[in-house]
Amino acid sequence: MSNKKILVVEDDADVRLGYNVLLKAHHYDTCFAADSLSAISEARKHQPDLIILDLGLPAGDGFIVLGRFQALTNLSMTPVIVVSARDAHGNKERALKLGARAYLQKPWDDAELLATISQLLGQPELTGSQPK
Amino acid sequence: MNPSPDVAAHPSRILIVDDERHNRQLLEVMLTPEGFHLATATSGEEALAMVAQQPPDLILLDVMMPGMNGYQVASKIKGDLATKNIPVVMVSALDDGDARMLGLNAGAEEFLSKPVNRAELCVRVRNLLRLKAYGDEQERSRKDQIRFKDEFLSHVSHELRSPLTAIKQFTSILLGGLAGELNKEQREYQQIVLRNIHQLQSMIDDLLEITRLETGKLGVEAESVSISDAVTDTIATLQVTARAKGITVAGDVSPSLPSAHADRLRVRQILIILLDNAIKFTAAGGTVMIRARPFEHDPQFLLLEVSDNGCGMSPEKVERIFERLYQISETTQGSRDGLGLGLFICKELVTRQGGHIWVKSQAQAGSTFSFILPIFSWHALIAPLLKNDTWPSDSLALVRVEAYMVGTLPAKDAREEWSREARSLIERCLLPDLDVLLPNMSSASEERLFFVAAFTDERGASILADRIRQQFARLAEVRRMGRALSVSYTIVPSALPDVGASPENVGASPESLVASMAAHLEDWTKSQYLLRGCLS
Repeated sequence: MSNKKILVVEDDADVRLGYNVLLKAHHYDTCFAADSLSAISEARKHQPDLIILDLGLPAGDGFIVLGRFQALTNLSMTPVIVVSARDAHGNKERALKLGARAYLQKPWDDAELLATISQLLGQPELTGSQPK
Repeated sequence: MNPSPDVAAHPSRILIVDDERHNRQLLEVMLTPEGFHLATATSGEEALAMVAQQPPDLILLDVMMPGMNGYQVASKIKGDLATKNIPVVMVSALDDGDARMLGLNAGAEEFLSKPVNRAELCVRVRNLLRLKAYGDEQERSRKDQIRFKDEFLSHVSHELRSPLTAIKQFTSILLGGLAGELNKEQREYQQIVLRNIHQLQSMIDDLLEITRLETGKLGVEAESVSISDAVTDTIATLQVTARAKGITVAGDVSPSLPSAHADRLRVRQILIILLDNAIKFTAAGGTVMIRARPFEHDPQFLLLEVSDNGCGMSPEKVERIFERLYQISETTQGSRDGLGLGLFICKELVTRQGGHIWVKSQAQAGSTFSFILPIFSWHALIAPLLKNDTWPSDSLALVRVEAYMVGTLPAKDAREEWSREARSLIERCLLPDLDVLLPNMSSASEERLFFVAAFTDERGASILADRIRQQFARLAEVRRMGRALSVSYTIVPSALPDVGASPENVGASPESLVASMAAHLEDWTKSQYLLRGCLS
């Protein structure tokens, strides 16, 4: 089976490099966008299996990008993890409302990030409640 | 006298309060040429209503009025934080020293005797308006400063998180061996870096928490909280830290301890701060205990204690320990740790949940931090409804809302978030004073259930159920995530089973009605949970 592809939308070049090292080491393919506009075009071009999205982005807020992803049919089902330096308080609720599947606070723990990714990609252990 | 520019730009609003039309007109005639915006009220009651709706810049207040008199109106206005800065000029036919003193004592700025001299009235009004404008300006600038400070703190804290993210990322990469294996020393040093990153991270979190506390953005949502779960979770969270220091952590919760009426996340937050502190100030080989039991001095409260046999504190320190920014200067490790905000946050959180926190400590012998939280009681939950005249009615409608997630939501805290959101959504649908949201009792279960008790008739219950359904439908639409929901209601005709119908209870005291209702609700809710296997 080929590697899953993750699009990382993050404006800080150091943090992008960090993601690249970590995700590659865990056998994910990566692609990157550094601002809101290229986030949309890169997502369309690469059709990633999962998107990691920062909120504070040049050329438009992460929430706008999130809304755009949800509006595009071929992207609306792609799970999005919002990772932000902003307080979870309020922002998390808003991100989840707009369709994000998880919200991580910067600086995150790698273990938590990796577990969230594999859960959302339906890789190992799947938890969560099912209707009875 | 020249009008001040402020007055010219926005005509000052003056409220004239007098029960006699002639007197009101006289004042209006005198003040109209001055360019004020005038409004009138014919009674004290009407005046207060108008003030509440749109506060004027000054009030001219008659003393002798039917209903509330001028003194009462003045003390009401001066006693309210929102209106106390509005200048009040008493205008009265009474002209003795006593009347004057009564008026000034009630908080009025000026006292004018009828018949009023036009020139004097205008000068006094202008002077007071100028003073008020000055006061308003001061208040505005004070509020601006506070807002600036909070925004600055919040901004700086967020900005600090970004570089910290990169530092933590690469430290984790090195420690994870993703850039080649580390030797023993390199690994040890990177661990030190990581530990300091975590410290910095929690300082930033504390700063933001304080900003939230001070801007009133920190919410406390009380529900039924299992203390035993909270203690177990807290110990599990900090077990690794404790073991690394060679400290034993143990919990001791009295069996069958009732639940607390508190915010689940906040209780954990308090316990974590206290336990973390205890571990910090205890030397290797020491023991830290978390105990929970009923509070012996007041049966309405639970007592929680975190005690250590660490370095303890001197009496002077004990006195100041809950102060903001206070921190123990010399610790056992000789290192500063944190910003000294933790205990201040604890105190605020405990107070906001209706509790109280204190500490007993002896230098070199250890410290015990104790706090109390209200016990969850059905009685306390429904007692406020008694204020409503129509209650108790002859029937009770219980609306059952059942909500759970379909499919997967990744993290536990995402579930918590959804649970909170669902709760607040239901809360928004309720009628205050008529409905009460029963607590979520399935704390250990991942499936969330919510119950609403509506103290209305069948029609009311059906409207409420519809409203909740609509709100949830909207929510599911926005998120396009799997949600399932069922809303149903049960009408309990003899909602007051032993009360309403039976002759011996005719004329029963409201207290006993509440008690009976509380018992009934508790049984009903428990049976619903048992039905679903949610309550152990």
